[in-house]
Amino acid sequence: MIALIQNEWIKLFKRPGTYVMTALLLLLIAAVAGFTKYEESKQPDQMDWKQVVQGENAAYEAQLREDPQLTKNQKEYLEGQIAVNEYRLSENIPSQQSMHMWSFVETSSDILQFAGLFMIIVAGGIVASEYTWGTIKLLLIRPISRSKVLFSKYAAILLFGLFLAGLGFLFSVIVGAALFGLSGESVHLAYKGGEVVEQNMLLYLIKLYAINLVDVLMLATMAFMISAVFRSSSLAIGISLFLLFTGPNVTYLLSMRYDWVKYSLFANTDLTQFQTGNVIVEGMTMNFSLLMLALYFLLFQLLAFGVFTKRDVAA
Amino acid sequence: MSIAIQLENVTKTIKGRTIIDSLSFSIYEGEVFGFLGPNGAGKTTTIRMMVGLMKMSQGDIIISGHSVRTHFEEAIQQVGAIVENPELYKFLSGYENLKQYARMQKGISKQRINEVVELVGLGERIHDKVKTYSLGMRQRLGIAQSLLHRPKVLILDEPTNGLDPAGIKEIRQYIRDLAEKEGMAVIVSSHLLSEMEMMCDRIGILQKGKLIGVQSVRDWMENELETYSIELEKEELEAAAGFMREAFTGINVKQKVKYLIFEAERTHIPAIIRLLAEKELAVYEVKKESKSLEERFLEITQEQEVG
Repeated sequence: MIALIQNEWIKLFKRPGTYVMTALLLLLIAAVAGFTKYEESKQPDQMDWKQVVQGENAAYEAQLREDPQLTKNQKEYLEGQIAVNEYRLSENIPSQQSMHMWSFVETSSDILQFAGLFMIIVAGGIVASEYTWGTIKLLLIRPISRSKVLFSKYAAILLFGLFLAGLGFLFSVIVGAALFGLSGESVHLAYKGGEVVEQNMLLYLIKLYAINLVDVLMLATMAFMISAVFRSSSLAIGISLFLLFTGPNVTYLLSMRYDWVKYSLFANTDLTQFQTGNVIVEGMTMNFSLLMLALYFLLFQLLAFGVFTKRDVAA
Repeated sequence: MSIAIQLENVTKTIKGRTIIDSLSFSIYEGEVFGFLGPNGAGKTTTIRMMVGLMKMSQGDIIISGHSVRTHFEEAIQQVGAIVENPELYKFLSGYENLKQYARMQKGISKQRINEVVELVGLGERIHDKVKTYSLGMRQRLGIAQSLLHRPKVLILDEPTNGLDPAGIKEIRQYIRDLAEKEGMAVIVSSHLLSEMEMMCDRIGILQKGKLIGVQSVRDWMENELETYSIELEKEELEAAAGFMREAFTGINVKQKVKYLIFEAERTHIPAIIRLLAEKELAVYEVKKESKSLEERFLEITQEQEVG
C-alpha cells in the first residue's frame, strides 16, 4: 500500500505542473504579506489598544440593543466578542492593532482556498490522466485489486493537500516573522460556554487551517469522483472549480427562500459559520453539518469506487 | 506439457451484442500461440478479458490454476502483458517506469530490473525520459515491464507493431527464446500473417468473435497439396500437359505463358520430372509456389463466411 502511494507521489512530483502550483501558492503568500506590510507603512501611528477595544465593545453593545433581527447564534457571538475584550482589559492582554507573525498566519488561512484549487486540479487528473495516457492498462494488470489502486490515489491527494497546507502554514510563519516580527500574542482568547479561556495560539491556528481544509477536501473528493467516473480531467476540474467559486453564493441566494438548501453540500462545507453564528439556514448545527458532510463524502466515494472497480477498461 | 492458460466458454456481450462467442481453448507452457484475425474480430477484447481489464459475460479463464474471475490477484501474478501499444509514463525515465511496476509486486530486486534492461537491450538509454524514445524502444520497454516478475504467461498484443525489420526479427527471436528456454507460454496477436508463421507454434483464428480453428503451424504448412510451376518451351506446353494428365489422373494442370501450373503432393514431383525428361521435353525450372499463410487464412475465413 505504501509502495502504491509512493508511486503516485513520484508521478505527481515528476511533473513540472506540481512545482508551478507549489511555487504559485508560496508566491501568493509572499505577495499578500508584502501588500499588507506596504499598507501598514502608510498608517504608522498606532492608537492605544485600550481605546480601540472599548470602542469595539461599544459598537457591539449598540448592535445587540438596536438590531431586533439578530439570531440567537449571532447574539452569542457578539456577547463572546465583548467578553473577550473585557477579559483583555481586566487581564491587561493587549490586542494587537498591527500585523504580527501569528495574525499573518491567521490571515493566510484564506489563501488555503488556493491550496484547495490546486488539490482539485490534482484530484481531477489523478484517475482521468491514466486513461488519457493509456497507462491505466499497465496499472490494472498488476496483482493488486482495483480498489487498492484507487485508494492509493485518493491517499496521494490527501497527502498533497496536507503538504500544501503544511507548506503554506510554515511559509506564512517564516514570512510573517521576517516582515512583521516575532512579537505578538502567543495565546488565543476564546469564548466558551459563557467564559473566556486562553488557548495555545499554535493549536488554534492549526484548528483554523483544519476547518478551512474541510470544504477543500469535499470538493477535492468530488473532483476525484468525477475523474474516476467520467475519466475526464477537464470535466472533473471544470465542474469542481465552478462549484468552488459559485457554490457558496448560489447556496446563499437560495437559502433566503428555501429551507431545503441546508441539505446541499455548500450549505455545510463552511464550518466557520458555527463560530460566528451566521448560519446559512436557521437551526443548522455543527453536528448536522458534519453528518451531511459525511453523507456526501460517502456518496462520492461509493460512486468513485463502485464505478472504477466494475468498469471495463477499453481505452 | 501442462496447460498455462485455459479459456472456458468465454463470452462477452456488450449491449445485447455478442462480441466474443464462447471461446474455448488452452495454451501450453513453452509454446507460442498466435491469435489471428482481421480487425474487429475480437482479438484485443479477448486479451483484455485474459488480463482482467474487461469482465467476461460468461465463462472463465484459468491461469496456472487460478480463475481470473474469482482469484484475479493470484491469476494475474503469473501474467506479463502489453495490451495494444506499450503506453508508459512519458515524463518518467525508462528506469523509473520499471521501478513503478517493480514496487507493485513482491520480490523484484534492483538486479532483476537491470537484468531485464539488459535482455531487451535498452542499455544506457534506460535513464532517458520515455518521451525521447522511438516506438521501437517503447516496445522494448513494454516487454521489459512485462518480464519483470518472471511470469509464466506472456501476452503481447501486436508486438511487432511499428518496428523496423531488424527490430521485428529481434523481437521474434526474444519470443522464441522465452518460450523455448524459459518455458513461458507466449500469446501473440497479430494480423501480420507472415509474422505469425515465423514465430508461432500454433495459431488460433478468430473471426467475428468466434474461434474458427486452431492449427499447428507445421501441420498447416506440410500436409496439403502444394502448387508447383514448371518452366518449359512454350511450343511444348500443350504436349507436356497431355502427358501429365495421362500419367496422373485427376491432376489439375493449367498453362500460363511458358509455365505449367499444377497442384501435387511433394512425393510426386520426382516422378513428374522423370516423365517430362523421358519425353525429351526441355525442363528449365521446377518451383514450389508455396501458398502463404495469408492465402490459407483468407481461404479459411472466406469458406466460413460462405458456410
